[in-house]
Amino acid sequence: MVRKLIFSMMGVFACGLITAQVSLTNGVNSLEISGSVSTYYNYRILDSVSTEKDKNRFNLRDAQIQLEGRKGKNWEYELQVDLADLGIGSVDPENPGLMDAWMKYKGFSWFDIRLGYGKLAWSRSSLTPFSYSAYWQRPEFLRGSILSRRDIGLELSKEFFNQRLVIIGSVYNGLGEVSLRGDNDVTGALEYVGRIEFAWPIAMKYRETDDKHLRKPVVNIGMGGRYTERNLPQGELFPSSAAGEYGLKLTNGRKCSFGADGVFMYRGLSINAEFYQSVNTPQDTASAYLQGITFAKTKGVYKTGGFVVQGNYFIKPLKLILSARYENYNLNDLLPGTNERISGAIAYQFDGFRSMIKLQTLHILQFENLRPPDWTDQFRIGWQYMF
Amino acid sequence: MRTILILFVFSSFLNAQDVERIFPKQKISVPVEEPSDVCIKGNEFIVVSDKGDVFSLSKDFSQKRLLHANLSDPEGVFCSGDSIWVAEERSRLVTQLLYSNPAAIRSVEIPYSGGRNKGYEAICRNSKGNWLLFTEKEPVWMIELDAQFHEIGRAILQVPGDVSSAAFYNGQLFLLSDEAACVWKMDLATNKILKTYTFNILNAEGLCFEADGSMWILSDAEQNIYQFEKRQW
Repeated sequence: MVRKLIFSMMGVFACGLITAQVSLTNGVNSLEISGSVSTYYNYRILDSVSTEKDKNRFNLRDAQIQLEGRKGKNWEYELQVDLADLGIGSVDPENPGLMDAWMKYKGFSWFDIRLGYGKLAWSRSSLTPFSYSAYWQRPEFLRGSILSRRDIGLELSKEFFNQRLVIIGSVYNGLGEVSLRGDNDVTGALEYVGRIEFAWPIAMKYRETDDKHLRKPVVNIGMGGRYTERNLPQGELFPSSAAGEYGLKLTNGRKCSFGADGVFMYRGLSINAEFYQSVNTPQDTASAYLQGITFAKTKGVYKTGGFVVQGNYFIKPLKLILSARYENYNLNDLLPGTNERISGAIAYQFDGFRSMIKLQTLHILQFENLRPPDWTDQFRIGWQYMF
Repeated sequence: MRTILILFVFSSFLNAQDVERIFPKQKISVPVEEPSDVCIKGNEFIVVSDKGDVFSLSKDFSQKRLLHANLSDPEGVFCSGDSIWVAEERSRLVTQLLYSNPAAIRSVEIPYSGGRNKGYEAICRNSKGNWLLFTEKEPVWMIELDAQFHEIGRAILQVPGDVSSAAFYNGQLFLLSDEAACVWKMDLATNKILKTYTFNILNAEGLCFEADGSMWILSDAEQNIYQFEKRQW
């Protein structure tokens, strides 16, 4: 019975080896229609002392439709929605209902201009499309619950030296995914984001895995920064849920973040590393975020940050990705302790990344008391299909 | 059960073909941004760029002349007589321009509804005078058209990678693969690979041969062109 089941599943997965990505063109305008569906089963081992007992479920992670268009050489636009998340009331910052809605003009010689809603260009991990990962979940501190990943705004970018050097500067509302509600907060402040990256010997796409088995070593180094200052008048609050799951996405005061990332790829091996730190200066020196510690010690500042290191190897003849990841993040440096997690992932490709089974395990090594999790281990297995 | 699983896992090792690793004898920097294909015209190279430009370059690549700008997305180029034909990937156009009067162009649309960025990557002409157009991947289509670009037939090529350029030499079809970093010598009767030449070049996008057997491979991202030894490939 088990054998029959295994062979039946293999047959089903192997069926759609040619994907259904289609495009329309009239010679000047071209429009591509694509999408993806992914579902996984999530199994959790709960913490013995936790009162939260919810566990184990199938989850429809993606039900995406993507329209990418181009007119001539200079005009581009993209609209991407995730129907799996569009209908629910809250916004999952890692997996929101509206993922992209922007237009871009590339006709100026000195920069390209993009206007609309989409990913903020500051972190390589955040910019890497999820479907090109062997994992079912991004690193905790880069998945959008501590710093926003998407927003509405204006982005200017320029590529140099055959795309090896890329410089991006942008300005956004600063409320992240909550900007879609249509309002800013009462400060009317904006967030300024910048990123610079350099690759050698050739430009590199935003990918984690060297599925091409590059014949020469390729590296990419990036740095990003974000700045916003939002001093709320007495009695005013940020829009509901804008501060995110941990209450850290917005600071009533000044928030300055910076980070760096790097990736190395060669013959199937890839190593990704990334760190960031936010320096938060609440306008209220008695803010609860400062934990009641004297100003002399804190200088009115608390920091949030972390780093992640991930190694991947793509066994090309077996169409198999093996990956391991270590992440360490600190929600508030004024509190003792830190958060450590290790993950492992195996992905088998039926048709490249377009049809892939992914298995991820995640183990929590330690956590801060600020936000104790109710589980210690998590396993996810599922299938992603891009059409 | 165990035997079947072993066969399944190691099946990709079983279809081993004739493989030879080749090494370039020289590397030359190409003064064209994002060069995407190359062909030889007399004593010059014709190079197309992702930026939409068509250049003629001297044999040592030290001098260049812009023939035409503002094409949408050139990915393949073929030269014959006074004519240069350019395959444009996203717009699905094949555009003809004359070397002697490059401003005058004429385009033919060859419909293909596959992925926008997985359209026409390579163009060449076979010994019958028919055109061969190749899509990049998912799947790799080889589309044969007559001299007036009317379709004669098409086939999916079962090759282990994408196709980024195509050229004939001594009546044999050679396909370049960026992702597999190799050139496949094809058997036109069966559409199977006869021989694989592997190399250490990143993002190989252009392939052409000189009459004496020199093979040239163009790297888009490196912005270099590599010359290989004269031989009977």
